[in-house]
Amino acid sequence: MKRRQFLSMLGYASATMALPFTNVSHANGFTPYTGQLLVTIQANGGWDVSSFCDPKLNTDSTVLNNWAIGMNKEDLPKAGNIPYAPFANNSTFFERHNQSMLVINGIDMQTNAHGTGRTHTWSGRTARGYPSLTALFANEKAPLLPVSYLNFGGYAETAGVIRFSRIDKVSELRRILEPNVNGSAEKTRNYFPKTDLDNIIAAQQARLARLKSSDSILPRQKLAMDSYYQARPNVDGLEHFASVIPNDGEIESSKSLSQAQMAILGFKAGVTCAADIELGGFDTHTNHDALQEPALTSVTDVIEYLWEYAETQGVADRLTVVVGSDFARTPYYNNSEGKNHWPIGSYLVMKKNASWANRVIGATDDNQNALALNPQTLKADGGTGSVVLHPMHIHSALRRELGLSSNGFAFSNTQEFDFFNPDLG
Amino acid sequence: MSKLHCLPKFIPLTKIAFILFATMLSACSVDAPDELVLARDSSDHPGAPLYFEHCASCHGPQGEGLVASALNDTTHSSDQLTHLISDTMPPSNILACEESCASDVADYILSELLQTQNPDNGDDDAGGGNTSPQDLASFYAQLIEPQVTQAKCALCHNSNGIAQETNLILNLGDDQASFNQTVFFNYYQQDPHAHASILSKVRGGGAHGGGVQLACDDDAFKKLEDFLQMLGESQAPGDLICSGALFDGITLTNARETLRRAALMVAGRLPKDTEYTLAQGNDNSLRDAIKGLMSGDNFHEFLIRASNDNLLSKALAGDGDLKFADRHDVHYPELSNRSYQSNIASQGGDESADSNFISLLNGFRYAGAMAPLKLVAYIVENERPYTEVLTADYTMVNPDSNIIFNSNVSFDNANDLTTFKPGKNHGQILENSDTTVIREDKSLGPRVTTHGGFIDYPHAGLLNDMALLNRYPSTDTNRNRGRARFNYYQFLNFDIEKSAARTTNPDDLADTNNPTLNNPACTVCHTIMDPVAGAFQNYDDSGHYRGATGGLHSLPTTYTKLADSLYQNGDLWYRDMLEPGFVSEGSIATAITEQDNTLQVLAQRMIADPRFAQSAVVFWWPAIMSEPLEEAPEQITDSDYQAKLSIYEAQRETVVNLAQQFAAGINGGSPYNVKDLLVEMIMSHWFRAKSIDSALNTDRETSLAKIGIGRLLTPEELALKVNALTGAAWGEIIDDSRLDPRYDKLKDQFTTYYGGIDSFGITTRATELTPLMSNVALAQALEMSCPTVIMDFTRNQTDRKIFKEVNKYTTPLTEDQVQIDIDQQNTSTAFNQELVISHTGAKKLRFNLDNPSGNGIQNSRRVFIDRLELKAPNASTLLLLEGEDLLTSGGAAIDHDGSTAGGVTNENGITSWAFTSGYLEIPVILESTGSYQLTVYAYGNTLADGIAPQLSMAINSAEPFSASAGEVLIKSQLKDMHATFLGEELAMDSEELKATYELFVSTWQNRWEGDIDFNVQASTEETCTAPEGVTFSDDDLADPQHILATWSRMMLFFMTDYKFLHE
Repeated sequence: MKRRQFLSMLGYASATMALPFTNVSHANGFTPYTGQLLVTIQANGGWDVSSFCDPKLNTDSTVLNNWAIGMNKEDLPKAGNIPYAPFANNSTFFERHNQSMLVINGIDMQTNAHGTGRTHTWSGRTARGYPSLTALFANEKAPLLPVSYLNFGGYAETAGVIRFSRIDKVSELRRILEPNVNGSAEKTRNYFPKTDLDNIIAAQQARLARLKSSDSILPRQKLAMDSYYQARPNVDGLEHFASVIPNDGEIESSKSLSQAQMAILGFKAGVTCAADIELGGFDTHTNHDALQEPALTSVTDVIEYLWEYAETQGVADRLTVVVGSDFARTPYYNNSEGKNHWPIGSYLVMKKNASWANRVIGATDDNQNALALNPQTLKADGGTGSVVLHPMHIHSALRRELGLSSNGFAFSNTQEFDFFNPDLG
Repeated sequence: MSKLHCLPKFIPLTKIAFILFATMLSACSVDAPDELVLARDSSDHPGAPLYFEHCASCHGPQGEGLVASALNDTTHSSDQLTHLISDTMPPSNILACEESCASDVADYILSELLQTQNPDNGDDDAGGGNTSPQDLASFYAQLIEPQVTQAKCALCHNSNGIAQETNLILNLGDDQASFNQTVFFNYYQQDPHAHASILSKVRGGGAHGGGVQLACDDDAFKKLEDFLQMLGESQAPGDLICSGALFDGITLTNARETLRRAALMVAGRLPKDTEYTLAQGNDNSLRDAIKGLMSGDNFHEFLIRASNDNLLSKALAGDGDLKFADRHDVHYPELSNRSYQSNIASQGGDESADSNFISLLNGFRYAGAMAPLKLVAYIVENERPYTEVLTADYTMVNPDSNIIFNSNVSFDNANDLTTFKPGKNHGQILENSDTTVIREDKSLGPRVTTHGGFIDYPHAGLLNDMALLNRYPSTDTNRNRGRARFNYYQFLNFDIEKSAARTTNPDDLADTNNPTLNNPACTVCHTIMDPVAGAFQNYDDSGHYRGATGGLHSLPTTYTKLADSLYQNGDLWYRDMLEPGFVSEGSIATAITEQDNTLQVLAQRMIADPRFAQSAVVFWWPAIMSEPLEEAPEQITDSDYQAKLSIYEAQRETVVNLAQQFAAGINGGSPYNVKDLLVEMIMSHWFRAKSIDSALNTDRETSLAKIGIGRLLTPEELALKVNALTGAAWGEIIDDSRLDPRYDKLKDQFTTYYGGIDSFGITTRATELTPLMSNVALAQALEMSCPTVIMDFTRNQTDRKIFKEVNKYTTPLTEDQVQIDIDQQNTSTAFNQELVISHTGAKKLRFNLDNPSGNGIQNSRRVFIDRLELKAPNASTLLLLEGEDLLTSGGAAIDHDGSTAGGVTNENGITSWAFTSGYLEIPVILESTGSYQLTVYAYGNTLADGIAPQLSMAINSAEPFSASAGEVLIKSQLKDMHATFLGEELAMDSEELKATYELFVSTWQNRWEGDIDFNVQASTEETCTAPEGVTFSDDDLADPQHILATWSRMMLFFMTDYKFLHE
């Protein structure tokens, strides 16, 4: 006799007694995100744009760049409409990607302090308290994804609109994405049956709902409970992420490329919509040329890898990439062959086959001072309303281009620049 | 190459100080007006006449501040004030009041002038005080000009002051009221946010370079508020609500709850019963109980962790991006020569030579990275004054750094690199003419053959800790400014970067006339920063003392060998920079003329500055509160600006108050005792806030967003909590090949994923749970829950860590149950047991073979039952069944898959029911409560392992939720777990406990219904892996009642609950 029948005979409670728990959505599976994607590449420390996208030759009185010794204006290379410095790996990069790139030069970061510079560059204002562009994007596009916003160590202020996730070594990531899988020396098996795990999570969510219902909870506890409540039912989504992680042999060993790879894989799995990639080594106060070259090469390498990998993983068409830095470097060398901080910098915005690409907007003079830009023409023609660009102008335009609302984080700029209008500039 | 127009000599600090303060002091005079004479003669204090002679004409007769700052709100201690007066006052003649004069004046100020009444009396006159003038001009001239403008604002906001580039430029000096009132009027009119901006900047908000000048509760602030309202008339906003009401209506955690949270944080365990008892006496006994937690290895780890969160020196350990200590560093001959010798030996065929050296190098690097943290821990644990973090004339060494530093400290175990002791660095030499370095072969590296002796490293605590000098290095152009900024930030609570906006004026940026010395846009910060940078003059970019070739200084060749260099023999510092010195909070600049031990002198100045004590509060705050202190909000138009300013203000007040107590000795304790400071933080509302009695408005929600309970445990705290409750950390091993042998997965492998830091790229902790972090906690619980349950149940019930109320046979149906060893073979023997019943009705007699496995072979033990008898409490026989009849009375023999368990057998002439797994169940009606006698006649087959078959005999209820004895025990166990794991004290009849019990029952029944083997690893969907060094036998994993598996799932429930991960 089967036990189930026996139990019925003895009058035990029904074997199919319903669980008194809230059904949780994850039990129904996971729906991958298929919308817009954003990556910011943060070149921390202050990159030398005069050796990159805003090339500067030497003046009669000052050597701005050693690589420019003996060069004239006509010698400066150009990829499509985009001039670039013949330094590091710039040639390959600009020649290959100019059709997908908008360069914005002459932006006054209004600071020479790293912390303020990063805040300004990535949030659009110098004062603390505004979220990064990535946080805003993730919050508006797909805040409930399991790892909606990936940050690898760069500026990550969220102003409380969303939480970011960090990924460290990939070998540990697999263990975390599938915590119930015991991949020990024997065959792979679970620690507990999935149904049991689901029941426990459901019970915990119900318990938390009871705890949260109290009127006397203080804000911190409320926020912590909300974070917990939202974090828990993501088991299926994270397992889906695990399914796209390749074998160890295909994982990038380089820290910067690994960041790009993980971001793209998150996009592919549909568990991520925005990521910050962080690169360092740009704060070249001494021995500038020898140190800035590999640093700029790391930027171009990671961008190239990002687009190639995005293409192979089928997410390149949805991707926008924004590249920037705290500020820039002086238009002269110091006593240690280094370059100190300089507030006038640049951004790159990249999108595959964008109509607004292959353009340079904004300019600096021969000594890398920002020129005021006419919002009507996007030229430094001194027209009415011309102002020096600040990060808030770029952020305003990016928000429009990416379809983001200000959402309580408005800027005080009086001029709007339509950088993404291909007919201007 | 930039051109510098350099000054021909050092710029004396005193000259700069004079420029800064001459205007402030110009009004001071020793002639006392009549009203001052009257005020002076009203006091008998010996300091009174001295005060009025030297101080009152600038600082006011009541110390209220006139052209100089107020003194009636000073935060200096008596010693500090005496020192200040003796060294610097009065400015017109600093020799006029020293020694006894200074101490008398200081005592007079503190005892008779210091404000004691609550200044928060608003604008109303209470009890016949001064009546404020009603017309604007008089109001301003009498109340604002002296107390606010001249005493505060105009000191910086004047045409020569450090705020000269702002839009508010006032006149300093006498008879400026009319002019200055007009300035305020114009400023108010031209900026629609001026009202809020002024009131917030004086409180430190709005990126005010002058920081906090007035507190919201100050009388002067109230007057300023009134003045601005008079300016704004009907358009002006109402009075601000000060932060004093921040904690209204908030309930705090009680003593027991507070002690528990404190114990988990600082001691990594739960409090003992004796500690709970002590805590529940009164506030002082709670303090004692909290302080009593502060000892042992876990407290040590807490100190290390908290220190590293600030200092980030762990980035120098291991294989990270930051490297420390070069094996070829000839400044440390023990290092470079041993490297050389190992290379020689390697080339000579010694295969272990290089690895041995690398081991030493790694040990030295580890020591370096840990030394600053160990110093802090040593000082705190031994209740030494915290000032020693800067004044310590020693460092902390382990066996390997002991070798390199020639410290001659004795260690019991030279291989234990985690033991640190105080020692001195006697390992560095100067690379001068006495030193001979042979560099014959690049592959061998350099070696030092002779030198002039090891230097006496002038230790100054953390200021010249070798690791910190490397973690926060300098460059040829930085010139120790980064180090200055770091030390101001860490030990004086002063962020130079935020003290003033950096210029982006193109003309300023293009200025090459030594702008850090000459351009006001730059000197605003550099006059403060550069003297301290100069105090590091003896240390080169890598942290060597006088590390330049020649051993005479640490200046770079890019300065000393420059064409037209200002350098002269004997110089230690740059001639185009301010000389070494220190600018204290009172803006009194003092040069440091000592040359060999400049940092030791700096240390003394820093600890005398009241900001040092404040910095200690700031340093330790995040470790307790899990959040840094709120920074002053910057953008006045932000919707949460006022709310953030309130919390900033309230926290700052706490910091100042705590710092004062800390410096003086908290509650009569020794000064600068960090343990006492930590106790006070834990006792505070900030830590203990638990609930609110009414709904909060948006502003108050923002203000209270990061206080009180609900802090996410750090990975280290969670690992210790798990260890304390279960007896083991996740994946814990002792690996002697590691520098720190103790390893666990949460603390080490997954720390970054669970919100921890790596001290380099990731330097701030995550404080809110994300899905990835949630999965880490889940991974821990999934892997640990079953083994933890198994291990605990293998202990004797009295020795268990968790499951003290139940055993593996206690089910929701159990009325009573016993377990017996069937240790008779071949001969049926009577085993008689008493079972006590407290509920009558339909029951089940149940007989389980609990350990069917033997020698790893499933189902190899057997039990033979040939008869059983049940007698009621009145001794009447209720049941008497022979073996072959056991099932005919309605009983059943069931295996896990529903098949019949066993069958009738006739062996040795005995007819019995024999089974190798499963159970026998016989229905019975019990009509009375009390003691029943159950006798089973049985025998078994003890195997070669000598373990007899175990038979459990139980009387069970027919269905759950019938208040069976088992239900009571299980609920009691769950109640315990709610208390220990989650900090919840629940009543037995509470809804929450009921919900947990329902989960238990349904989980158990699901397993019961699932035709699952009586084993915790019944299928490939289940794993119960023993931890390292432990082996589970088949008997350990046998689960005849599905109770072990159920408790495993409940353990998972508790270990991933919100309240387990948060405290």
